[in-house]
Amino acid sequence: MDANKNDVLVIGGGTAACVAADAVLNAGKSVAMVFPNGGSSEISAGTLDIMGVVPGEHPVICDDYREGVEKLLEKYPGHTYSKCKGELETGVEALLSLAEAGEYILKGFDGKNVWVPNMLGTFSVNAYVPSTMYEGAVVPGEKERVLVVGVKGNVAFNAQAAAMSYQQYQKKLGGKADYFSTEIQIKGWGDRRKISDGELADYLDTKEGKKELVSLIQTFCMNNRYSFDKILFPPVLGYLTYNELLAELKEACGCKVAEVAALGNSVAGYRFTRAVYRGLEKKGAKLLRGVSAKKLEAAENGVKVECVIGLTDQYHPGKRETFEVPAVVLATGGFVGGGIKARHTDVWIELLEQHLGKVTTDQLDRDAVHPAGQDFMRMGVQVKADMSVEDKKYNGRVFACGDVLAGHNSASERSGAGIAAASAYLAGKNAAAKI
Amino acid sequence: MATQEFSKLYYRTSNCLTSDIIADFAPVSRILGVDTSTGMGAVFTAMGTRFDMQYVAKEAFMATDGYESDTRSIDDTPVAEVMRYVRGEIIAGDKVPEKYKAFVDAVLKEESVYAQYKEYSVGDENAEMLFLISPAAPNAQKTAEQAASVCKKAGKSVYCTNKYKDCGYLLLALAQTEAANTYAAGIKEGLAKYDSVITDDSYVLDALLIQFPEMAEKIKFLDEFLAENKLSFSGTEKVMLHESGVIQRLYPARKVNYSEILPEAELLLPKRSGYDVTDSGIAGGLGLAEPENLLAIAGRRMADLSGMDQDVIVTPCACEAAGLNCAEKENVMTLLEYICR
Amino acid sequence: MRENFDVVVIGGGTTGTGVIRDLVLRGFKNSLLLERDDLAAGTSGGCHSALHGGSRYVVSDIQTARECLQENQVYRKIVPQVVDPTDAIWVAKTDEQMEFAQKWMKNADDIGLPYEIISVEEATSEEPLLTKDIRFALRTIDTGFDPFRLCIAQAYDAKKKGAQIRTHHEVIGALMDGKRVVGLRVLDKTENNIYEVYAKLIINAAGPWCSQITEMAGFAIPMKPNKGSTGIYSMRPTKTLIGILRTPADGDGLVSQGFQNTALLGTSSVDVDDPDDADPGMDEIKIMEDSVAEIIPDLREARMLRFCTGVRPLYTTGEETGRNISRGMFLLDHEEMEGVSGMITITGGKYATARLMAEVAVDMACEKLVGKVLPCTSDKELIYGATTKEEAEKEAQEIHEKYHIPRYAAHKFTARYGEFAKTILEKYPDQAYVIDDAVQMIGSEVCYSFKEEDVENFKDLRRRTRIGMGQEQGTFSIYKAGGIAQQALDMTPAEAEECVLGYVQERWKGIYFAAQYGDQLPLSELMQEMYVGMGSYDVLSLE
Repeated sequence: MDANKNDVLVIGGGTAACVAADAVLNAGKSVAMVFPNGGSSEISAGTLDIMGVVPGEHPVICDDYREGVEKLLEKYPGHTYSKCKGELETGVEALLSLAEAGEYILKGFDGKNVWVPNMLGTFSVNAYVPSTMYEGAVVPGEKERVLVVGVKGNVAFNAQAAAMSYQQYQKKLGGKADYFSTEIQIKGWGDRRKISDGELADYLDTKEGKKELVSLIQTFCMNNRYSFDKILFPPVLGYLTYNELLAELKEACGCKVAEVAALGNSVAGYRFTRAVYRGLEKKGAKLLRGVSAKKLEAAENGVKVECVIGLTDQYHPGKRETFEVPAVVLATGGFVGGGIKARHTDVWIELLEQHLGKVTTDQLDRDAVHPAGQDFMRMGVQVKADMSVEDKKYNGRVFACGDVLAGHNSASERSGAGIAAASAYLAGKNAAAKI
Repeated sequence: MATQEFSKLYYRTSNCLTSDIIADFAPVSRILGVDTSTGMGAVFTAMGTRFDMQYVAKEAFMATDGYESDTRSIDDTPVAEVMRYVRGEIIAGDKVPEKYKAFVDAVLKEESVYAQYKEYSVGDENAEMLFLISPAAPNAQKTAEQAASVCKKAGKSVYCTNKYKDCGYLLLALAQTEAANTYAAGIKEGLAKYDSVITDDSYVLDALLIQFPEMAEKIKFLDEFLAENKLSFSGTEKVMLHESGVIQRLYPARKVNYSEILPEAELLLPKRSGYDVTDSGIAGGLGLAEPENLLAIAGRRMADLSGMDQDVIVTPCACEAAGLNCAEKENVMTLLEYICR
Repeated sequence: MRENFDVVVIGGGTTGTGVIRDLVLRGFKNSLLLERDDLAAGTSGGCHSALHGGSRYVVSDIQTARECLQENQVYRKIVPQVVDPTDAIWVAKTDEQMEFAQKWMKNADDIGLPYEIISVEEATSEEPLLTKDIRFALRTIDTGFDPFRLCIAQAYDAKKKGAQIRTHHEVIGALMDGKRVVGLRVLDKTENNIYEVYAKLIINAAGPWCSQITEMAGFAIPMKPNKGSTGIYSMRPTKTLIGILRTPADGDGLVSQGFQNTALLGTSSVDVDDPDDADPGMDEIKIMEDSVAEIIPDLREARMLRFCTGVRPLYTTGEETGRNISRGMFLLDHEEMEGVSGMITITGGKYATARLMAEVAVDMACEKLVGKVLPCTSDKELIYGATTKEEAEKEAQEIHEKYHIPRYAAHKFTARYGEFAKTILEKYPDQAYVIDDAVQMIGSEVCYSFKEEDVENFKDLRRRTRIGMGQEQGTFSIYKAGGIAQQALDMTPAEAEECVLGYVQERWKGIYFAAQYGDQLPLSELMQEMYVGMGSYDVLSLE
């Protein structure tokens, strides 16, 4: 559990942190990552959203994410992308190759955005989707017959309602498919009335589980006058061996097979983050999991980072250790990730002890789904052009990237992964240059 | 000294937004299904009302995941601590479900919950080192012999015993802090006089580090001891390693590079490893309160471990080995057994 | 066909539903209740959820205290599943509070209010989050309860016995025959259709909107709407209801909400002009929190989920405002007072004394309709679905075993529905699983509420089932309810979206205030990611 005197220390465990670490490695320097968990990336859909919608009274849906970034910057010139869009392609490449090294394949569409079905029954816009979701993307104009499969007892995904909903929501996207639904019953583990995503994924990771599912689908396809062009599943095809199962299912039913997207599902984000970690470890990054950074202090020619090692509670105070490194990259996340904390009328950046004041009514819209978005989402750390934090006391040795930054609204823009990749790559590169 | 102050625990739970996701990762929910163990949501909701703890007694006793769920909590929710607290409240309110009563009584009476446990001690009481044999070890004498031979290699004399059983681990797990502290006070002298205290039971290690933080420097897990004394062992086999969850999650600073200890072996890790390592379900003995669950979880972990063409499955923790072997699939050796074979 | 009723009750809060229940028990089954929104959508839904036993008023308003004492006992008997017997601990810390405690006990003895002095050690060991430097504590009978469920129970008690309950029907005019009110003009908001009903007597129980109703008959009454803001925490720092022994002021205590894992910080008192325009006051919340933090020191560590308000229907004949007006009940016979017959108004009062208010109103109704007061049994008859605790627990165990629903969820379920719990699952077994983990709400309840409890949308659903009222404010459960609505209730995706988004908006309303108070920002961000980032409702809505 050691960080070298010559390491860049990246604080965080999500998408941005991983890209920053990669940038440091690519610059020929060494890097250590400290993080207790994968933050909001761990509960994410496992897709990459770069620029989906330009928010406003009249929102603009972006067909092409590069064009989308340009349109966004015309409307919001001070946006986070204005500082780091130069590194967007490199950052995204880095993320793709790390994931691939960990056996998680993300596929893009030549700069185009695609809409994929999700567990709410609507569609979400993304630039890159994992191999398990690739074939689920909406193909405008295509008259496909799509079967939506639900597992009896899996409360998180109501296949029947989803199919009915997809039928309607696809219209705005030019979708012409016909959606059907069915429910299968998993019996191999006995009689269960309510089934979670986690237990399904764990079961489908086993040989028996795969066999049962493939056989159920095969039987369904065989004694059925209707043939389908595409079959959709909830994102539960396994934590570890999902690619294998997907291939087996495709063979069994002879058509496209895909998972739908989900937020707050324990499987999708897990696959993504763990794969990226594997990729980073293969490249020689030091991943200090279970280490939480608690305090930053400027030091001569560097930064001191006080950390606690191990999970803590009243029985376990954890081990305190201070790392002194030449440069630090903060990729601690937004409100959900924990990089920005709020309590009563105070909002502050954790670790920088920077207070942002309170959220006022100007930053909130009473309409929860207002197309201009909720401005409080744009709160965060201000950084200079090189992504170092404005606060002079760190002498330009502390950089920040990802959701902790000010100036973007990852939900309304569908820009979370893009911001993470671009800002992190730039931050990591510049942090490495400090050594 | 262990403490369990309600205020320190309760307000930490107020930020929990992701109980569904955390619950999905608890082995009991994952393997036995949310039908059987609903885990988080119910417990946290009950904790909120605080009158209704008896309705989530089953969930609390089934939470044998030893901080595995905590690793998935992005909002810093102290899951294991909550479950422990609920168990304590249920015992205090005399609402222990019938099927756990015998187990709880045994723990409160400081009897060992392991059926085959028999007190055993060997060696010179005034030796340099103390080796604490796991109360879960099937053959304490054999363990002692193995420990002695390894210590000899390091040029150290050792006194081996299992007389302190689990050092109060289960009392701590049931939030019986007063009883655990009294127990600790009683064994302190017996530990303090040695230069170092070694064990290959990670739950014993946990109890010792909780109760004797001032002795943290001299309390060591077996693999730490081997690495420090630069002991390495031959053998070119393919070794599938089941890591200790206690070390990975609670004491990661004590992690050891196994290629130092087993330089010639081909070390294999199951696909879920490192911080994400899943335990056997024995949970320092708590898993014995409901053997069917232990069997299911151990069986599932064995499926992970048996996947990769290995010659042998090894774990540094003797308690974990006992747990995994409950599933009666391939035999799992302790690290100590392996290096002494 | 002209609709002729004996009595039409205006207002679906606790007073109105209490009135119609009592009417039906006394034989007036040909009665109608009209509520412009949903049951308990008004004042009754914004209350502090404290079923007073009299403690708060025993020094300042002994008459009200007597009434609360009586009614607390009644409610515990007739609708046990709604009353969570948390009881209360009242504490004193300062010299003034110690003095007040003496007065309190003397008055309590006078009216027979049960209490038990407990040692400070006992109080602080039972409530570990209470400050250790309190000097005096006593246990008494105030308790938490579910204000929605009580209105619903009262209304359906009447419905089951023959009365009609029409929610989302707004009274927009009075039909007059000279100086007599003979009926009402009503807007059915579900179909935008205006119709008329006729009645021998109208009972105006419209809460702070009482004057809006009487103005339709040509005269105003001096209502002084008074807003109380409440903050809702995501947990229960104290098991029991905690009160501070002092003259009633803002932030007197923390109410542990009946059967829920939330606690309510209240209440404040601010006069307002328009009862419909009452946003929670951020300053009020701060004052209250500071006050309660004196006895629960780390209270500010708890997360404030949302804020809401209730507007009290205070009635005054003089110049007093706010807290000084008696919270007493006022029964207005307009024939005597303004010369307008056919309508009486019952207003003022507290939730805890609503049954008593209903009783006096129906006494007068009896005199006007049949010339004499028929005996009232509303304090003895069990309300809709009431069961004893033992029966409820037995059923909960059976439900747990049969449907594999967690034991805790089953316990809360039978507490909510009493004897109807089993039937709900038998009728809708396919949805017999928990869909909202934070409140342990079961999917079958969605079907039952829509089909049999006059639910029009998810806002109504929440009052019956508490969906979305827990830690994550429905982020993960609202869409699941939408799925069930499509699958089992034949809702189209557009209809389901209206319900889902409508409720997301409603939850956002409360979060809008709590977000300014900081604690809800992570949840707000999560909700945005869920319904905008993932759900795309901002650009793909079917509207």
